[in-house]
Amino acid sequence: MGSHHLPPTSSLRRWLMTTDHKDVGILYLVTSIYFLVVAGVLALVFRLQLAEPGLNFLSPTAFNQAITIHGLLMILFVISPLAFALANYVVPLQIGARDLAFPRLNALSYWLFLFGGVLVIISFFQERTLDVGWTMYQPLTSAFSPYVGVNTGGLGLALLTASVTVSTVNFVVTIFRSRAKGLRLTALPMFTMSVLLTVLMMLYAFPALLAGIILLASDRLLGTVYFTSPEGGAILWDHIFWFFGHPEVYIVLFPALGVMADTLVTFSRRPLFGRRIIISAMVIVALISFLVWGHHMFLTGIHPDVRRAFVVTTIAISLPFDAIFLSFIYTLSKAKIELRTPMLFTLGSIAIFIIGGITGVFLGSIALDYVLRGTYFVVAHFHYTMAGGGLVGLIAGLYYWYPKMTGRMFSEKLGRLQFILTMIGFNMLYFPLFLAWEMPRRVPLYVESLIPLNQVATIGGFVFGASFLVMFWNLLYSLKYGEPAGENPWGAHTLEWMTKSPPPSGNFEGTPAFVDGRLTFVAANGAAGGEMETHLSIWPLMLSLASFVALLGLTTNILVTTAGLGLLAFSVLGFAGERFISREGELGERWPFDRVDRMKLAWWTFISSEIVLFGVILSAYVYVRTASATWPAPGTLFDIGHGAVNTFVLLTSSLTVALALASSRSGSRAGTVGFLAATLALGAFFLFNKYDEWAELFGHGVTFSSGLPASTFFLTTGIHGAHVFAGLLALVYLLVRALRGAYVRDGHETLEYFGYYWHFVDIVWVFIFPLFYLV
Amino acid sequence: MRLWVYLSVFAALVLMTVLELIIFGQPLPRVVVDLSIIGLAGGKAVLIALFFQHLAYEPRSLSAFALLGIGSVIAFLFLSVYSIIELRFG
Amino acid sequence: MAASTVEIFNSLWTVFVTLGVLVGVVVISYMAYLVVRNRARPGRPEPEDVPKPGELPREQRGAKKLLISVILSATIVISLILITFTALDVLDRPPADAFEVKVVAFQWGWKFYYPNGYESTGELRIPRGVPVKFYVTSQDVFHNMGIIDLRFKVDAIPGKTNIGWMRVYTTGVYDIRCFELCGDGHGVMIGRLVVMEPEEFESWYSSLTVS
Repeated sequence: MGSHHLPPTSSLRRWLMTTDHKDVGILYLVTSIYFLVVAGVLALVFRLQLAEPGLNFLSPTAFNQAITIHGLLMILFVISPLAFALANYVVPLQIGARDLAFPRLNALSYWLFLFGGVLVIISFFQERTLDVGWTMYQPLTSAFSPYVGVNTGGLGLALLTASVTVSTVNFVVTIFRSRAKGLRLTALPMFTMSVLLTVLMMLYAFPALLAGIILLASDRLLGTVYFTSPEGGAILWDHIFWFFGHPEVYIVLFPALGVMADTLVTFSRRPLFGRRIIISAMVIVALISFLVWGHHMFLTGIHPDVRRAFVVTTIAISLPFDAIFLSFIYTLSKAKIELRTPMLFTLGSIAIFIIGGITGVFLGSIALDYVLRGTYFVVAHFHYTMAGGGLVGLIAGLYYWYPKMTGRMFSEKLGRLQFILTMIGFNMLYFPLFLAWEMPRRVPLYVESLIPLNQVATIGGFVFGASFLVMFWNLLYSLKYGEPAGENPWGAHTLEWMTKSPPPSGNFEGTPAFVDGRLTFVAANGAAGGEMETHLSIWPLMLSLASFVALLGLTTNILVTTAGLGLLAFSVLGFAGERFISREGELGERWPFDRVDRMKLAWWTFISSEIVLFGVILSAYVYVRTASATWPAPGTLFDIGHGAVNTFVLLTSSLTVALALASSRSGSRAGTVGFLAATLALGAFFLFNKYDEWAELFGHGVTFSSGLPASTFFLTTGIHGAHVFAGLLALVYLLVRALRGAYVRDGHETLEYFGYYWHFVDIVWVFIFPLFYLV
Repeated sequence: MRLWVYLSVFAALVLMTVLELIIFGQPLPRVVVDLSIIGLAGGKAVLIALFFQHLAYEPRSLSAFALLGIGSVIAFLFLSVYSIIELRFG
Repeated sequence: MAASTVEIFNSLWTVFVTLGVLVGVVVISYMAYLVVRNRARPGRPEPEDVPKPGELPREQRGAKKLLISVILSATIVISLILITFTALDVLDRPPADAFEVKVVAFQWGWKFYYPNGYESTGELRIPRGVPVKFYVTSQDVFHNMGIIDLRFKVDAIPGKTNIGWMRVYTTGVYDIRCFELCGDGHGVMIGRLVVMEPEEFESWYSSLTVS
């Protein structure tokens, strides 16, 4: 099925089946721009409404839907994907790789992202979509917004988190394992460095969002009471959402910082000031970003000690930012600054971000936040950081790498025009919102004295919008009529400029390597006995389509879900059975994972995200127990017998998996098959016993909605059971292949990787058992 | 991997589970019972990770991913639960 | 006379705005100055350390310059936090002699319960100059009770009672608005706070008949 040569770019087949990172980058780019237009038009619609107080042409729910989807799309479907469009295209080039580590998974990430966005868009046409704010506060979302569209939008987010997880694993493995020889981790170009830190933050932040969505969906669809009960409710959601949400702010920003750093070096013709300090500062920010979320909750009445701790971390995180941006500015000294379009956007973005950063200190001051919370001051602040620092910074990147992507130069004149319009529009739009700080967020009705500021903002919004039209025209026109760019039009020093524009399939002629700090190309030595690499596969698209259909069915017709699951099973088999060859370069820098192969690294990266997923679900359980005045004593609600038997069963199954691996290593086919079959039987017994336990509970009238003890039990063991079930499906596949003689002579790593997953699921149970049955 | 390592780890896991069940029935203060049981669970998890998932034989850098995940979960658990301690709802 | 809660916020706000504007103007101007001075002009030579194509990255050294700048900004930020905590000590400690009102937010309005048992919907009256302590909760979704003119806000969360307090010296009528998206009526969830002269309030309050 997989094919080796890419069809021409005019062929639809190429765009549906490509796994080439450059193509996938273009797909991400076009799609994120589509969502940018949707989210931008929504913003213009409500800005028009806000030109005068009151609701003149929008209904209250239309207004709420517009602001919600605007925020949701911009943050999750526009800025981050735009960053990943650039990352897809540029990161392999910057590190001298032929492609990402897992090209098919990369295509899968893209299609999952696209279909996630399509679900969000579809939800608009199901009476009403999410109208609860992008922060989805509780219990409004769980109990007071009973619309189908809200479910669909939420499932779209779930699909996005799947996409993010897959691409996170891919980028982590790529950046650690596919670097050119001599390219030490500390010598990475700043853009790649920032992408690495971004995906590491994503790795631990997005599972929290997924956990939140799972709990929320379960409340809405199954009737659990995580967020509808006061013991969980508003504050539990706040914790989970912002534990994801605050790192997300830096996830949105970091790639833009990388763009700024790379363009500063190129256009100021000087090395980056304090490069190592900037990198250390970014690492510190990435770590602290997981410890600041509480500053979104200063007024919720959480414990004063915790509030003060969050003030300290919030202020602490501003200091590395000082170091980063001051270093950026110091880079400009004694420079020869070429004010080309990308540089203009970088400088503009830095200036805007500085304003966003300073106003962030205001919000970190808890006493000011008591009053500023929920006002336009906050709106202005996060647009200055995320739209100004993030989006405008990425536009610099788009212009910077456009010649590399297309082989053509854009019009400098139009680029400057867009820059002027952007700066005027942006500041006209958002600066008045600082001045209108007394206005509540997300309300159409406001006092008359604020009309002038709002009208200036609305006009600014249209100017800002128009600036994008100039960009679209520029990029499309130059695609055909731009001057040929050549390899290195900016005279830059990083590796992506040392090949043709656009680069050929495989990116470089020869293998780039740094010897004594200087770039050389090692002749490709016959592609290492080479099977041809594969570049086309239909299965990423099919898998994503199947997931999309299955999820859409959940909110429309369950038959559709059934069809979707059938298609999913078919696609998984197709994906697994396809012969898809992607080689890892033979020589390269792999520290600190020289002795860890790429699949192993990928599995451990994935399992780390699962740790956070279950960690948050279990934390939610501990949380609601702490919050509840009463809780049934251990042994009274859930039968310890069932739990204990299942514990022994699962522990034994871990042993049999380990023994299956040992047998395959020692070449015993009978042992491999036997122990895999034993594992399958034990896993099936576990689920049967679980079913028996659930049925007993249901028989006694204990259901999903019978209070928090029942809700948490069913949800936690249910998600765990789903993991066991997924493991059993994989076991069936492994067993069938083992019966045909696989894994004995070679390929026993597959059993090792399966073991990682299975033992992990076992570990989760090792905690569930005492937490729910004994303690 | 030597067989006896798998088998003795398994034996330890079973023993620790039995120990959990025994401690559960003891007339000790609740805190002592709860903490010992959770401690045993943590010990079991570490054994599985080190010897069944072979982290004991891998470079430390590989464990770093999981440790960062565990660290962020602990931060989440600690700060979110602390934030409502002394508060009872309902 | 104890400071009003409005003044506490306003003085803090003034400090932040002044320093914020100052720092912003200095930093952005310095950047603009560097850009203008060092822009590429005909005859301006390439810097000697220009990164050459294919070279691994180097860096400009200057830890001292950076250290000084960061210490400077750290000093500013830390002193801002210290004055914040000073203000917080007042804001988080309602005076013991406060007049106490219970507030229940609902979709979409406000209910007020006075100490004498009187309740009203939509309008709250309080005396001027007296500390007023609010016990705020919600009967349905997450709201936020905000009286922005009086620099006052409390989250209204179902199942949970949050406390806020204020002391104001200006009489008048102020909007009570919701500052957390709470559904279709969020934008029009507006109540009235009437701050009265103490004598006027006293005569109104004592005239109330409580059922």
